Amino acid sequence: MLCAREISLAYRRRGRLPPVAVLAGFSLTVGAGERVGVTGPSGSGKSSLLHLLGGLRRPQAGEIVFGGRDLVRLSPTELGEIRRRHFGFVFQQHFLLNYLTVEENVMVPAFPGDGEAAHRAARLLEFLDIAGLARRFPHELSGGQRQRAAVARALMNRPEVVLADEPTASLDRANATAVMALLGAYQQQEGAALIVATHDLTLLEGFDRVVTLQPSGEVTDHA
Amino acid sequence: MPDLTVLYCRRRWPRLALMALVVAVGVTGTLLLNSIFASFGQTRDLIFSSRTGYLVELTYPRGAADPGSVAELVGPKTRVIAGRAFNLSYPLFGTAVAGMVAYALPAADIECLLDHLGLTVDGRGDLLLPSSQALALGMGVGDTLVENRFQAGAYRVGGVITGRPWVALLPIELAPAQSPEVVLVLAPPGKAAELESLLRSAGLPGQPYIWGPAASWVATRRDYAEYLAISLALGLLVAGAVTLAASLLRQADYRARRDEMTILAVIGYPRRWLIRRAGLELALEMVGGWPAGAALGAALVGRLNDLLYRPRGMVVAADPGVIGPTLLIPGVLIVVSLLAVTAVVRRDALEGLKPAGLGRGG
Repeated sequence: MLCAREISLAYRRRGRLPPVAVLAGFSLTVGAGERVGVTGPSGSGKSSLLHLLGGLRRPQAGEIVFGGRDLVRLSPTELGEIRRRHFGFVFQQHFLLNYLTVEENVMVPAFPGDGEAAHRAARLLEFLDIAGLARRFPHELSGGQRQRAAVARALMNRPEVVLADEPTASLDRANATAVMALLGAYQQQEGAALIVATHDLTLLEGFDRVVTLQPSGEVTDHA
Repeated sequence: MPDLTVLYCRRRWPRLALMALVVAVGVTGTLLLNSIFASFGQTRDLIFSSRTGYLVELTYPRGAADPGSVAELVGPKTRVIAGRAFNLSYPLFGTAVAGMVAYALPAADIECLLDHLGLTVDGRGDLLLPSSQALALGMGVGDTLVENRFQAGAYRVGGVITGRPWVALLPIELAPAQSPEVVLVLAPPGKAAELESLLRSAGLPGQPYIWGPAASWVATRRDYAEYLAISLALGLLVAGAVTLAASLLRQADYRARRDEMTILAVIGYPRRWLIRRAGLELALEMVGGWPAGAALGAALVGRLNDLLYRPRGMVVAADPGVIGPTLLIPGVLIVVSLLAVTAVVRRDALEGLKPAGLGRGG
């Protein structure tokens, strides 16, 4: 489903300092319905890997194939279309739009003319147990509730791949567990691929694979 | 998909703050443009000949001319009664000269002039141009009937002025850069031929007309400097106060807006859509704020005129003239803002996610 082959990424630095290599010749294949955890210390490239896999950033070398198309070669508009239609993103912060209600926030990724959007949003809110908060604004919610709303937004277009970058880092244990359970439930229900980057290995229990990145560039991939 | 542009109006304060900023820009722009255009005014000299009793006004291209040497052209006993002056009217749309004439001679002086000509206010119908014709000539500067008539005369619209000598503005087609562009001669009735001869002998071709007692007041460099200083002070005061208040609100909103752009781009909204939306919102704010700012600026100029300049027989910077040029301001602002938005969308949203707090996980 989603396949990264020999991708390399290095960040340029100012002046004459040499670039910092984050990934070098990294390969990863994620199948449909697979749950993959990405872990490693800070600076090891977890977020960068998720950005690459999600088409938010282009590698300097290698290819990332999704649905038979190399994301590296697509235009920004084409990439945006793929992200919106097939990918769902959850970040450490919720990034809900503060002038929209929860329900409206969830519907933000919907396409114009999508008559089912409101119905789907309502079901998602029920699924995530925040249906009663649909008309509230983000500032009226707790941290856990906001993150659930952010998860609902990520799932709005029934993505085939869900990429979550430290989705529980700002939550307490109970909320973190709940959010991960919801992501897992969606993944199982829809047969989507779930890729989660986190420091917390306990959140990755039950995952099909865990990829551990090291700042040195070493990669461990274990089932 | 919710209509984000419409729904963003729920956040009234940031939006109103930006509009207030635009208003301030409009005010400042109007005042400053007023000053700038005023500074484009031509250099004039009013020369009074004690021998002939003529008052001669010479208008030069900007930065040219030596009034002393020109004074010699008129006659040895000619003296410069006001020194070099600066025209405070607009050199736009052909109204500059007419405006200048009207401004140089306050309405009271024009009345006096007309009295000398044996014309009463009621008896001046034959001097009056139809308003449509005056407007076609760009004569919208003066705000009194007398001034309008005077401007009409200044343009010497042929037979419309019933053959009575009135005001002549003589385009002097002299090659040297030091030559005056126009010469306005105010001559006593019956003396036109004599003055014409005098000017011709001095090498200034043309047809002088009209008697004039003397201009009672002439704008000077100091007046211009004063006006500029007041405009700047007012503009900066308004802009500073509003900017201070509005920027506090905008500052609070900036990060939210940047994050919004980022998350929308991440979700997959096309860049063009984001930029178009930002442009539309900016344009709406400009449409709301700029006219108010320009109107406020124009009102301030008018108030300045009323308080300071009209009592001294001068009108600074006709209000309508500055509206057109200030139209450029919102256009420039929109373009600059869009460039900034484009840069932010490109840099922050897709390539540099960290500024928005995404991807800090390592």
